[in-house]
Amino acid sequence: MADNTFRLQAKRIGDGIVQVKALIRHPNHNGLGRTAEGEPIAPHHLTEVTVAVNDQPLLTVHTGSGIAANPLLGWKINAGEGNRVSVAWTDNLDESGRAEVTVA
Amino acid sequence: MTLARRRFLRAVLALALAGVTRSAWATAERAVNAFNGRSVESALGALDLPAAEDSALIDIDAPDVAENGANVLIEITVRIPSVERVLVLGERNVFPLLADTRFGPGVVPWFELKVKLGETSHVRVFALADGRLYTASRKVRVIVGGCLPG
Repeated sequence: MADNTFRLQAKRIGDGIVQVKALIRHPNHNGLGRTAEGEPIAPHHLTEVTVAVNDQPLLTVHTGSGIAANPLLGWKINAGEGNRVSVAWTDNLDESGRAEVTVA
Repeated sequence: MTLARRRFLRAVLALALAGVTRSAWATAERAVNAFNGRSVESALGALDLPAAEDSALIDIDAPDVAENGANVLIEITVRIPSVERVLVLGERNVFPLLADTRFGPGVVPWFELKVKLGETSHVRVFALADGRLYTASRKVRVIVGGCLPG
């Protein structure tokens, strides 16, 4: 959808199996870093990512601060042509994002 | 009128049932204490898991040498039936627990994930299936650490 924090892809790779790849734009600060001026950077990282097919949740990933900045996450799920695959995230500051694609 | 009420009650009942039957994995709380743990032991201690046994059925695909620890792609395949939960830890990270994945039915127990590794260490994976805990690990050599700024 029109969420620019996201790149989401859902590709059929076999009989009834769809590979989902999500590229989420997020700084994922772990709270240990400092700016060039030496100021501490507050923690700001993803806490939860969920994957759903046709709005039915399939899996949940709880994440810590050790996820890479702008991470790639990928899964293989049971789905087929025409199914709507959506991925939603929330972070420790209660920001969130969501993207949806239809399997071609 | 009564028909409308009956339909309404039926809808309410269906919603309530849906709430009850929603499986545990979908509503599980994030294990905050485990994510805040600063060692593998404290992270695991906060999770209340059974004792783990080594398993050759967990494949961890990661680079042997990661030039940049801030961006390490790991790929995990679990060949154990009915896996419900997979934990990924960077053993020497400041906060070792990286991800806690809960699978519902309809998911192939495979995933890929980009993580940060503070220094050369083992990436350890735990898989929970039928109440038993399995584990495997793989060493990743890190050239430039990815947790603290240079």
